[in-house]
Amino acid sequence: MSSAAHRFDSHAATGQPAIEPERYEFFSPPAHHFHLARRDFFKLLGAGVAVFASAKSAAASAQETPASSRGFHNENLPNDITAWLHVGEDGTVTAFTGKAEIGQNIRTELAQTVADELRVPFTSVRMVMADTALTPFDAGTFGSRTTPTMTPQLRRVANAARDIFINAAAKEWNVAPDTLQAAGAKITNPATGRSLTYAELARGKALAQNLPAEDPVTPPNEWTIAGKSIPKVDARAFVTGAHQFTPDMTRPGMLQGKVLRPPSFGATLISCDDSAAKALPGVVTVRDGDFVAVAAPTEHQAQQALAALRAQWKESPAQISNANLFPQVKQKASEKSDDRHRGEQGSVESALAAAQRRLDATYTVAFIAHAPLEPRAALAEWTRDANGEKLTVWTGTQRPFAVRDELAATFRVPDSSVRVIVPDTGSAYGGYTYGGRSANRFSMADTFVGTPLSVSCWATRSLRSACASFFSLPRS
Amino acid sequence: MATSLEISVNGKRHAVVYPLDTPLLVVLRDELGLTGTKYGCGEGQCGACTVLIGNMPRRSCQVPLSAAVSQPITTVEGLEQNGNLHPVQQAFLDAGAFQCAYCTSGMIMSSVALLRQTPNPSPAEIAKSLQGNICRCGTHPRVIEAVTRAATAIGQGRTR
Repeated sequence: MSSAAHRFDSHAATGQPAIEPERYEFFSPPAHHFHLARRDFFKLLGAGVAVFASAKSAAASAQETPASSRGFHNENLPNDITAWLHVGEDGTVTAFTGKAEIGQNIRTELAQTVADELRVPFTSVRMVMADTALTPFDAGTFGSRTTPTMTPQLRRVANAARDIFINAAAKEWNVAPDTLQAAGAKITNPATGRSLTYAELARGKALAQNLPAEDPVTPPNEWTIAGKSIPKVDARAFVTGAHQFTPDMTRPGMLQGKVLRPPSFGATLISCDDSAAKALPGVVTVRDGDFVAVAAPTEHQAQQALAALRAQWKESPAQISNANLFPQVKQKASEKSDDRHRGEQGSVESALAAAQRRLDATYTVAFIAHAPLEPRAALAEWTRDANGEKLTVWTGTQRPFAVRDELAATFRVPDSSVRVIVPDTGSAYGGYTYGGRSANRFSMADTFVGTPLSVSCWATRSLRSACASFFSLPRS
Repeated sequence: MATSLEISVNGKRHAVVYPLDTPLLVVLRDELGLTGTKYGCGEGQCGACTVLIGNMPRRSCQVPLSAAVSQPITTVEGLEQNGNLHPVQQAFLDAGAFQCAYCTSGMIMSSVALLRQTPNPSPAEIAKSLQGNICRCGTHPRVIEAVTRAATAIGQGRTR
């Protein structure tokens, strides 16, 4: 069995350092078929038991795709089959979700949900999250939707897997399924006292089931693992600094990229002399229209190369400033009357007329950046072989599938050639909801076929205009 | 102009060749691969890159390499000893004092420095001392709880 599941376990055996769950992609065999068919999944993860969602049932999970009126482009539902859960021959449970861990602790919560419904120990569940090659399509991680939509989904998935085990044991013992009990990662027959572990039942099998439309799941008052306050998965890696956020990641032979930023919004490039930058050791420069970037073997060299660029910009004179920002915002808001009156009920005028006391005041809140502490960063690796081109990107985003689509469109390659993986990320707060401009970060990627490239917004970024949170000091 | 010099990081001496004005953070991450120290803002506002120089908490993005040669440097990777977490690390873990945890290394280093100077800080003293460490997730009450726990743990025998 040369599967990813097997490889996970081999590290403990060989004494290699333990790998965080989201680091599996470095060790898993390359998946050339991004939309994996059932047989490919078993090939990748090894024999066992799996629960899939067909296109029809995937529709249920994708219903949270926001309406286009909110500004997200509608995405097609997947017409392929995607796996939600796999139980390997060693009893290891792998659950798949397109949701991203951005500090809201869903890696822990979703694993609790799966363990609870499948009746297995919490520690046997590994979550594979936000990887466009391996996880089911997901519109994005936003709006506090994971708990209301993804936990019931994974509960139904785990429930279906439990049914597979119950039915497999019933067949083995030639008894009715409803006489059997699932608990502690095994199926027991109370009448005989016999039991079979999930690992035993999964051994040598490739049992699969589509997710049923409806299946009653465990009610909250019977939960034993979910809903409990437990330490965050991988907590130790966060207090030791071992966890690698995107800016911390490296790949062999990686170059550090830096993008030349315009001095002001909307500035256009008149000219750029990159001769001094190019003369520095190991430096490559890229220009594509107004986009100029450099790459070098180290962060420091890249910074030096960026500083050596001689660019002339044409700035647009009429810029919005803090002084005239709010009148502009007000004007724009009234122009978009449809948006403004969406969901409006009753009459403001008559309510005000009937009010006992009327207060006129204008309140403004500073126009601030989301400013997650982790800088925007991405690591891209472009490979080309007989099977075609493949772009793999690690980046913090709330919408990996949208970033994938954007990159595919930018580089004019099929979606299936792009794989976006979201390492557990240093927060987002909605700021990474729009794939937006992610392509900008990688516009240089295709220059570096075969060379991994890390691009971070490493330039000093001000948090002064950010919504920063401080300890509250006692007033004295 | 790159200069060859030696710095002491987590008890080991390292020869590095960099211009003297290179931020210590760059050398730690880029040269020594110590990525536990995080780049947050690059201008000394967020505290994610906090390390100890001697016993003092310093923002490594603002410390030129030339100012880091005379005293030993401790990063978050240097706190663990013989597989045992430092009491402050253990307290952060036990109190669940993080969400995304990008600020955690810096928070821990600032807390270690505080407890070396003030073994039993009040919540107000903790808040004041960690004021330069920004957490965007809002874990501040738990951080204060963690530092208080760590102070107790250290007081009960583990002197670090």
